[in-house]
Amino acid sequence: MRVFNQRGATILPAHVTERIAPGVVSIKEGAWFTPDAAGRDTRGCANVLTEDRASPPAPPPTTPAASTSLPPDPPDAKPDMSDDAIIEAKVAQALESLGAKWELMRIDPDFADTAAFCEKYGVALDHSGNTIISGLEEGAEEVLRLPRARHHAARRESRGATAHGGVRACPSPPREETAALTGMMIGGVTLLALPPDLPIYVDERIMELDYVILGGGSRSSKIKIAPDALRGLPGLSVVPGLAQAIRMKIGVNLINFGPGRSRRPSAAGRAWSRTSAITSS
Amino acid sequence: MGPKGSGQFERISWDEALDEVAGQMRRIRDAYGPAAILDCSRTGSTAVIHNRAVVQRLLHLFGGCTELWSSLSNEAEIFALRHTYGPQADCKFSGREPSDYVNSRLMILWGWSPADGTFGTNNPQYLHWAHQHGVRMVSVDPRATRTSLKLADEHVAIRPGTDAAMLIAMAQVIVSENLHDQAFLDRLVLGFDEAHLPEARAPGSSYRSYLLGLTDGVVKTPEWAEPLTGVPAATIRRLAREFGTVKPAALQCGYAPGRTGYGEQFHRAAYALCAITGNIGIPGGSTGCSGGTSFHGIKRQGASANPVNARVASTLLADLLERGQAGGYPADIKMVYSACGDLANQCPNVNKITAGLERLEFMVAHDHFLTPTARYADIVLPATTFWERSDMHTPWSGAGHYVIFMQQAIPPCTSAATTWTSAPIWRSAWGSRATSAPPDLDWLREVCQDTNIDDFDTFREKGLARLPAPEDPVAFAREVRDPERYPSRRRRERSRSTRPPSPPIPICTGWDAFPPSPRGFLRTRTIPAIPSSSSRPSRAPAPTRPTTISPSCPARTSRTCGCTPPTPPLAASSTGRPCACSTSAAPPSSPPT
Repeated sequence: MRVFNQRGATILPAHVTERIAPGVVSIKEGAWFTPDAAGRDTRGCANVLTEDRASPPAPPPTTPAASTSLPPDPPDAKPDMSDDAIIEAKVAQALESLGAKWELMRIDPDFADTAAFCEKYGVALDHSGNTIISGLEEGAEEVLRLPRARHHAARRESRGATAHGGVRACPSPPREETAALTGMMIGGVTLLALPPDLPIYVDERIMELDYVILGGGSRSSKIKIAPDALRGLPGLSVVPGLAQAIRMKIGVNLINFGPGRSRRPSAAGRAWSRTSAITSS
Repeated sequence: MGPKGSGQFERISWDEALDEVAGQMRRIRDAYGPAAILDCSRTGSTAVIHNRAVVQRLLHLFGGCTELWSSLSNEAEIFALRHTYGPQADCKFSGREPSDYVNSRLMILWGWSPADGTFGTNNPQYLHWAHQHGVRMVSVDPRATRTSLKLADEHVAIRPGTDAAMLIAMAQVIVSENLHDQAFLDRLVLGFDEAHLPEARAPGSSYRSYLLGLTDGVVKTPEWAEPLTGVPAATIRRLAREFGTVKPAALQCGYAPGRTGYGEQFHRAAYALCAITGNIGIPGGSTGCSGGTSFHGIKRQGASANPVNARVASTLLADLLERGQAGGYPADIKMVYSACGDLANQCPNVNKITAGLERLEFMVAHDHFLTPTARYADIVLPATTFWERSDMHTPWSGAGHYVIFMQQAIPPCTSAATTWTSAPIWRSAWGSRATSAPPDLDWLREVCQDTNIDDFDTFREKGLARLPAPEDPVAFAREVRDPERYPSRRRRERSRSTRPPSPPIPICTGWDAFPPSPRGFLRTRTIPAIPSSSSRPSRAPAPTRPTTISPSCPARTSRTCGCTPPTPPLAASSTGRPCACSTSAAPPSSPPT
């Protein structure tokens, strides 16, 4: 059986047994890496599949040159593509891997933020999923967040500072960090194509919708998708009351700010197509 | 002479080979600096004198090198252990004697299968013996391992990577049903409840608060763990009650559950469970660590300190080769020196590693076989096997208290193959043509002088020396029995700094913050709470570890001694450098896995 991922492939004999938990496969230590002419391993070397990362991570390299800032990993894309195009391609790839129907909407970048987007394109707040990355600050555990009405403004204005009523605002990473982490711009952040290690939490209320609008990676696109399709994302958990909770989960939180559940399909939700649905108005 | 990786070589003379290696080493050191040479030697030989330190000694005296640190086997456990039981705790000597298994009433074998992986000489037999004497054994593993099939009274199939969640849920049951050993916790444990928090710890960060959901509103019940782990809540609850009420009970953990993102949290949760039930330091109990009990007294010979301060975690080998300085690493690697190791096969992401090896300017390997690593070398020097040289060996992981003498059986097979302890490379590297007689026997005799082996010749003749067994069959027994007299290292440090002494076993959530890792893609965070690994089912970036701890660098704990270096003094003195070598109490590296 050919076992592969983006790092490599190997050939292993498959053995079906009741001696393993359902849904689990086990690769033993494997054999010596023995590539064929095309460079593919032929003997079951498990490490062609494993990721080169340290856990717990290594201490900082010790030379001065290595002290602080590091260039982000080069994207797996052609150098002549714009940043937006690269991230959108990655998002599209992630969507394809979910195997569900989805729709790309081209929008005006000036109206990428939730409130402006909903107003301009006539989408209910309920259907607009807000991807919020939180708790990446030093020392953060699950972090306090403002009551939702205040949330957006406070997040932009007073990162981490004590705000209304002594409640600490959600310390989300600032713009540059978000970009460095996700490759995405604020206003376009989506829970697709994120680094594979981030836990993802989705408000239960969103899962009950017939569709949800997500960021498209860049500020000039949005993704429309049935929330059920998101269940295929690695590391996703559905959390009841996430939007109402006073604490955000560390990781990626998908919530909406609408008044409540709305099962009635809106105009945008009735028809599915693979091309742009909303252009402008 | 085929392309790199093809495994096609032509035979050349030792002189040609040594001149080539030495010439390339000098050229690369002079052109790029010593850090451009990467030492890829590993644990293929872990005997007392024939081990990776031979190459370390060579490269360190040559001007230094970039070295790989961190254990590929159990770095998560090493990290967790030092956090919980103090910086001196060694994963090989923080467990218990196999002969103590029979003293347990219950043993939970968690991701631990000595029948598959031995884990110390004769461990399966000791387990079998304990089982015959009525020790109930429960195996928790995604696979029904050979140990499970043969010895376990019950097998619990758990989803991989969710072990911490089940341990936490077990702790929650024990604490909420008041089955925990409060007296033990009050006396010895830091951070279990709000009354015993470490300094500068926020209220609500105790483990008890976490378990009972006092801070985050999520009670870590078996029902909470069931969807994460795939283990029925009733099973978790029953097992927890059993572990909480049967004493002494031992939790024997393997390395595998920790070999994942946030894997150290599995080990921390295991130690916490042992602490909560008061099973640490008592016969039949355990620390949650599956090594031996005490150091056997025979030190593997180490190397002097690396003059170049350039160290990279071994799991990052592929990235180091690919990106070098551009990726934040100490140097662009131009040359690899590999002896008794096969890191191209053992480190993650083999394709990326071999692509990096192809780009090297030069690579030399010592080996018996054309391993995947050796295939990429420019020069492969045939190393002697253990049949062809004399050495000593101690049992792995502190299991058993004896030393065996590995008597040379035959002369080296090919006339050219010389034992690489005498490192023929040395003379060429320094331009000296002096030759040295194999120093094995003299050196072994010297090694034995500081040990319990008082008659080296008898030892050599009989091939075996038995060493005294430790006073206590379990690690930390005396610290638990008499913490005033035997404070943990952590506690001693605190006492010195005039703070009030604190109990030695911290298990609170959010213990200690560490310097940032430029290799991580997130900003630094406090080391997450024990439960974090499970409450976040996907792999999250793990915390950094302190830079001061180096499990696989013997030099960090070495002391200079008067050992005869393996080279002729002429060679070393011709460089003007002192030829100090050192004995080392370094933790033995893990065997290849």
